[in-house]
Amino acid sequence: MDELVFRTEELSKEQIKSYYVPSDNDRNIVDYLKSKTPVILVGSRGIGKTFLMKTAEQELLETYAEQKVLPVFLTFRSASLLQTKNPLQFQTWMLSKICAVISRALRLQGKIIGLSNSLSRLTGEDYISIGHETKIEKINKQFEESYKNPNIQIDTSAVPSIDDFMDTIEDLCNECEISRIVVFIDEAAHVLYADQQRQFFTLFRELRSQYLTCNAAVYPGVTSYGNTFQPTHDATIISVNRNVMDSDYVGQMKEIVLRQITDSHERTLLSQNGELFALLAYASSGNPRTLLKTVALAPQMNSRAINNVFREFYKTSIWSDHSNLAENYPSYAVLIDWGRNFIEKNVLREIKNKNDDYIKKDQPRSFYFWVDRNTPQVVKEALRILEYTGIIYENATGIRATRDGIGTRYMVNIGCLLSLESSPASTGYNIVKKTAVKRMTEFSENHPLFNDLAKEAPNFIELTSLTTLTEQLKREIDSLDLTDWQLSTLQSLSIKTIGELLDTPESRLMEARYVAEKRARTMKNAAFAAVFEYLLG
Amino acid sequence: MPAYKDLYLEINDKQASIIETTLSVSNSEIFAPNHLFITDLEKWLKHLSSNREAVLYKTAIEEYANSLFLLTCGLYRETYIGLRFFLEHTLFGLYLSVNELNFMRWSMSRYDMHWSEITDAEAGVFSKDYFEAFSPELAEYAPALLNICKLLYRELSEYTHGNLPATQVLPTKLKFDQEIFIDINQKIESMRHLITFLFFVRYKSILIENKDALDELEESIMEVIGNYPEIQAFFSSERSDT
Repeated sequence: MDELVFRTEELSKEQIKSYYVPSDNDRNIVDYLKSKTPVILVGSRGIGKTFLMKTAEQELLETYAEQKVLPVFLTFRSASLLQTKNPLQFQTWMLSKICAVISRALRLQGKIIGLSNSLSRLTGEDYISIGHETKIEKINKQFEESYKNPNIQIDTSAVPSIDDFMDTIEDLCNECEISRIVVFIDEAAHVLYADQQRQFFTLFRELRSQYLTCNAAVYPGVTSYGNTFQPTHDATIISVNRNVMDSDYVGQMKEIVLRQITDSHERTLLSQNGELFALLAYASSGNPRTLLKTVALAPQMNSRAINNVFREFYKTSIWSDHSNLAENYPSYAVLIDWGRNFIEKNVLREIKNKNDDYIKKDQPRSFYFWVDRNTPQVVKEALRILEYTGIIYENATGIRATRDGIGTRYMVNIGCLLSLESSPASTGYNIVKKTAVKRMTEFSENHPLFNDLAKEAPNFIELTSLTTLTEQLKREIDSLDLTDWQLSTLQSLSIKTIGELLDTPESRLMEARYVAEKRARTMKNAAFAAVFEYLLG
Repeated sequence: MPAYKDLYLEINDKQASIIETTLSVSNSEIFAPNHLFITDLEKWLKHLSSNREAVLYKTAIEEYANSLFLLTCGLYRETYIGLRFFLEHTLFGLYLSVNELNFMRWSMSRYDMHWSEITDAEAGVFSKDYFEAFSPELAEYAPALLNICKLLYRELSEYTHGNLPATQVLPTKLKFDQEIFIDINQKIESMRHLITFLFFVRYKSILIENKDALDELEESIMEVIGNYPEIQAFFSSERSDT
């Protein structure tokens, strides 16, 4: 089979253009992203947020000569993240990042040239006088100076403010004849801890003017907006969801795959096994990346291959991925595990049992469940994590249930539901072809399963950068890269954790037998290295 | 004033008018990324300044900048020649970065650059050994990159050696030629891809050890070779496969 590309980041500009399947909903989203209104694009992994932002970026670039709206793309990548608790430092780091990408975009457009040493031979002058430092580069330097030296920068009035930044943007637009700059911020909050997410959105709220629009892509549920940012007032929130009930849903999803397939034989195979192809489309629950992956896993597109996909992917991999989150976010482990059990052992089974009954009576089946809005907060947090991993999808809020409660309706991952069938390839299509949203399994606020979680995690602590650092410091010294002799020496001094080792001065370490200065330093360095390695990834 | 001075000043004026045409609005969009590459290369150089091979990179980058100037004023053969020099010298630097003895001999004029050694599939900068020593996760791409490099070098050499088919394509008089302008920019785009990739392979450790280097080079690397999943994985610590 043609090698299918699952991630937008791997696509070239030309591929993005040719792979774009313009559904009405997607077209609407792209138009919003290009508009003056700030947009928060919410969607689980693989749903198409990056693709839509890249499409908007490409379209703005193509019309730049006439419209003069300059798109700028920024992705937070964890390798270059700043780890800090200092709000001012974080703010200046963020603004520096935005300045840097705007500066680069302007250079790519040939609007500014920046400084260069290598041209000095031609002009015969020192590099400083070649080109000139633009305002945006100057302000960026000041931001960098601030965030790289948080302890030295005492005079905060010397640090450019957000207003200074916005004035610089305005001047830049006027000088370069740009009508507006649109910043697309991908993975806007994913790699940031909750306190940083709040700082991000507080800043996001300020970064809007006639000359600047910011859009951000976030994951559902695991994003903290903070108290200052009001999602409904400060941006247009758009959920990237593909409604499996739409009449053209299957056609659209199939087209996403077919755009990447150039081999005629493979296209024929997909066409000949249309029902199985459609089954995979439904199973993906509107997630293009999932559909592409599952099609790649079943190149033969026959019953055996499809059943294998359900067994290996929907019954195993997707759940492992959810559970493995606990390794990166140990504070959420209880919620992660509870969420898995809730859906896997309760919700899915209950929906399947009902569907089996509906099928016998030839009544519409269901993918939906409902949760009362007064459910304990900790349950909502667990559900949000399930949204993040794509196990469930928020379908609608403010929905009235049969017993008059108001709550949220969710759709379960259809693939996970169908994986409970003994032969999904045989029976799956019969389930998906006739469904109704009203047939939802309801969970009231006092459901026993919710009370169990509330008892197990009464003191749910939000994950912050401070929390993970604290946990790191509590780790035992056994996990450090030290010799047995060094470890036993530390234990003889009653030093048991990394935190204790960091707190112990070298002079105290040297009290142990045969520990001179060098060995004492080695042991402390191992502790420092472990902590920094964890924090800096 | 010597009589020929006016002649050369007239040629200089002619070149200025060619620059105006070359860097029209639509052409600027094609040219700008290649001009920006000067700055990107200088950023690499800044973080490699203590490496012995930096002296080669410095010369190479200057020649690259020079080539862009020649391109803007319609001196196309000279541009191709300059770009070949840039390619050779940069790859020679990468080659000598792992061979101190040959570097010392070269610095004493006792060792010459041999393109065949640099691009040798078993022992050069595209070899499995070279890639696996510094970035094993990218080793599978080495053969394809070597092919790109060989093609580029051959194409540039056509003009350097004055081969007839290449000579016939060039304008006989000093003037702007849109097709050649596009062709050269496309070759430069390939070189940007190739060199950014090779620099990443060879100097990834600097990005790991030096946060400033990572910060400064991240955007340019991602822009040019960010579509490779291994490059994305390097810059991202969390990546889900579902």
